[in-house]
Amino acid sequence: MNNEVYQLGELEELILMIVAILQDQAYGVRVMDEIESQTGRKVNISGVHTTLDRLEKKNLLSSEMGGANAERGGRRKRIFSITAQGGKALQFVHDTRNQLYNQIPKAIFSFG
Amino acid sequence: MSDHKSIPKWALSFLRFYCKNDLLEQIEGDLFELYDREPDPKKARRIFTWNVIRFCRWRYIKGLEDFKLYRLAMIKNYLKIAFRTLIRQKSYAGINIVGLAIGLASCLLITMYIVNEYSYDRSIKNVDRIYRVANGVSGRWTPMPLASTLTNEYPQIEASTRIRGLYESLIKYGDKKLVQKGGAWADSSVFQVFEAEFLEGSPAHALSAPDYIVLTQSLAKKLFPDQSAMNERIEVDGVNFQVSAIVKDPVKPTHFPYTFIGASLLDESYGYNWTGNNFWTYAKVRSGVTKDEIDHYLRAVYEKYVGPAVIAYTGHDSFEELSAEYPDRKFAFTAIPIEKIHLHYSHMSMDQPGSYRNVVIFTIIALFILLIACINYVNMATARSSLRSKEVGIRKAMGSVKSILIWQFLVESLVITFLAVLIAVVIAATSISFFNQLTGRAFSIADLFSMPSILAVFGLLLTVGLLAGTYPAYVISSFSPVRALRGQLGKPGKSSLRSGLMAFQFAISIFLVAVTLIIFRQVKYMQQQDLGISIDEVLVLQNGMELGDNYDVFRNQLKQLPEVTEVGKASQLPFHGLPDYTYRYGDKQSISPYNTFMSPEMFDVLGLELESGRLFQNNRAMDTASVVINEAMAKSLGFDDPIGQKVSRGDGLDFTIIGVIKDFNFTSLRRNIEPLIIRYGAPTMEIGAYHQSFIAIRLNTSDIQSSMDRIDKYWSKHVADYPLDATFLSDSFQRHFDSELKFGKVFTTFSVLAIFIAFLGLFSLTTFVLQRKHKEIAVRKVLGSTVSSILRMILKEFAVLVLIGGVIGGSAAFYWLNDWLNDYSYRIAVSWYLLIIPILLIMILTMIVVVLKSYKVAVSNPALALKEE
Repeated sequence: MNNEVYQLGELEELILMIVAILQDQAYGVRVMDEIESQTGRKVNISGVHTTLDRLEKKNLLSSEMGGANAERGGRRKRIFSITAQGGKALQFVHDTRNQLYNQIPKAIFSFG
Repeated sequence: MSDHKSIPKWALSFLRFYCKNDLLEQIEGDLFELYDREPDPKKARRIFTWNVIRFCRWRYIKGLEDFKLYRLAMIKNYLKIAFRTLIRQKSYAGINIVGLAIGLASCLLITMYIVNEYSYDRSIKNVDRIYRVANGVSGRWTPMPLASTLTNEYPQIEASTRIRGLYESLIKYGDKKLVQKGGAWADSSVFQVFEAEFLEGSPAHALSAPDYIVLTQSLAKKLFPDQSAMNERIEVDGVNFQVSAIVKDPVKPTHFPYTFIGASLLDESYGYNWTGNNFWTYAKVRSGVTKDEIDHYLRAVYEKYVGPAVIAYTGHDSFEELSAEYPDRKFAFTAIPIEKIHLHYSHMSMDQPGSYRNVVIFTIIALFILLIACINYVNMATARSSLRSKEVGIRKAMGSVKSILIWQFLVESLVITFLAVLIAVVIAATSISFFNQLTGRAFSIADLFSMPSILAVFGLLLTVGLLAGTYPAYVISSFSPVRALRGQLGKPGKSSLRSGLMAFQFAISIFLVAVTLIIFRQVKYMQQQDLGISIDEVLVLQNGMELGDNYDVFRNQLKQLPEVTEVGKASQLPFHGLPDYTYRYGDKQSISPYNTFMSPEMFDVLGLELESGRLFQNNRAMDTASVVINEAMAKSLGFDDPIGQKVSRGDGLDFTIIGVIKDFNFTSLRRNIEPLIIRYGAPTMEIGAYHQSFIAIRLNTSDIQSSMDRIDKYWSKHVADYPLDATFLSDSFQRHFDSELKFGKVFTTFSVLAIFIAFLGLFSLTTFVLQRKHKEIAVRKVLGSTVSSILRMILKEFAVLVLIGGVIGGSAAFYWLNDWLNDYSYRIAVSWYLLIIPILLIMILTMIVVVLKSYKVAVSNPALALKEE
């Protein structure tokens, strides 16, 4: 399955990377904050949840319920972590990008 | 620790309502966290609510997780069962479908009507900025200089125009002649107010010369089928015009459906004065200017220009004094948004007038009929529930659950409604011409399939299907399977809901019949009133001014005819709409009676009786300064002896009252006889050639047709262009009842429909009640009851319902009709027997249906019913 093709949406790819960076800290609000602080982009919390769910369904993420916490009115967090498949997907996306990026003539970047 | 009490409760409940249980905790947690860290509590609440709404997505909503393919298979099964049930119970299904279809067809037609009424003028560009300027609160006619003054002095007003119309004109082109409706005369600014799409020519030059005329595309094609009409010369009512532009036809429906607009507004013949009201004024304001602002300017304009003349009439010392006396807008101009003209100011419309009252009534009737049809469905479905109890029992025993059964019954009602909608569309399409007669509109079948109607069909399909289906579905599906299979289900025939609905149906039917009855009684009452004037043998000719000086010759010729008793001329005739003129009298007092100009012979033609004084004599020099008034006018003036008193139009135009005639009706019988002033008919400054607009002939013949032919022969000798337009005065009088008669016809139609649907329901309901009572009846017979006592027992049950319905429907009709009749000065009283008749009618019909249905059961052999067990 080496030449498996992963098709990820732009937000999906972003969130997949964030989850990988946050390791065992990745849950809805934290992911949303991280996207904003790292990229300056504002995403609605419902959008984050939807994307996390979708990635889990694609087996790129897995999740489990964390411990109760008083500051969330006693509600537990759902902690996401990246699966082996998710890692492969990130690698694939990264490789594809690099491959394309390297073919761009250097002259393009000198304008600006 | 944070406090979550200030979280919007409804938002949280809503989240908990829709969200899947296993996802709720993490979502709630995240939302709480976001809520807590927002320092501004207001903003926090807002964000919370917004997020709850944003989470409302397909994947988070519970109940949708098992929406899988097998559901589709079940729907297929529901449909199959539904059709089998319908086929098994043909008569029941038929009654239901026909009843619903009639109700739906009425709704469809009425939706089409209402959508049309509300779409008037909506297609006009910038319609929200265009106003009609009313004289006073809603007077149609405004002074000549108003439009130009508004444009010149008020920068808030973008454009303003005068319009007169719409007239029927004779158009001549070469040897072609055409009588064309929809002609208007207007200022060149008319296209700045009513923007039109120019196919040829330009708005700037369209009406820039006094002999320019703009044609609509359809009229241009009609006149010049093979060539462009541009720059051609045509003759309109004897005046030569050059076609200066061709515009697209105004989008209908509109209150201004013109076919051509000519430039010839002859200012000179009206003079630059603010006291004569001869034009309609329209104004377009700049965007952002409100109606209040415009009304403010319009009052100021009135004060500045009309004010001085008005206080000269009324004798007040200043305009402030006058307006303090009349704080409403009686002495001002008022802006009326043109979208409101059709429904709310229909006297200002140039199209078929609309009526807000009719829209409301039509809506209510449509809902009534639909309600009756829905009630039928609910009644029959619940009444029949016992028949299907075994089916429900078996289904439940086999593992079906309540929700699936509810679905099954809902699908069944949707299938019935769907079939009903199909039939309704057919009924509506076939009855469209009849509906056009009722409403005075011209709908085509294409209108029935326009977007709003299609939306209405789907809306009705869903609401009726669900509305009528939900209750029976819940009732039937909640049967306990054991009891259902044993056949023990409640007590038969004791459903209070069913009885209530039945009584309500009777109430609606009785209401509609009572209203119909009383409308026709009122019309008949008015038609039989003594008018104080004899109208039956008076023939009225229009366009009398075309005769010009030949009138006397024409009159003499007619007088030679043996059947002609007398011939007279007038500016206006009774029942043809009289204008009101303001006169000053006594000390600073003014009065605005109806006004007409008549030749001396006219009094004999109309059979008017003199009360005191004398009538006009055929001596023009003497009587042009004399007036004859009616008793009502004499009473309003309040002089001890009105003969010899003077009234004045100002500017030295004084008139002496020479005679008082007995009161007679000259408008519709809605109003009491109002003050009337009759002036001597001569071509004076005020009236010109129009003093002989109408020629009236008193005929004494049984052979009307040959008289008409003879009159026509003389007429066409003098007037080449206008064909003879003759009507009997009595017909014009009858035309005043058109709206009432139409109103009555609407109610007749819909009462018949309502009664028909209600009795369809009654018919099948009786069947089911009897089916469930057949054992009771058998036992009673065995114990010695007679057939008649059994019939009486069944009848009593329905009679009580009719009476309850009668009380409700009768009292509703009583209050509403009293209100309606208050519009009429000549009105009947709503007496009790007028309310008893409809109740009796419904009662008798009910008895007939019930007896027919129950007789068979009552006479049947009780042994047959009892041995079943």
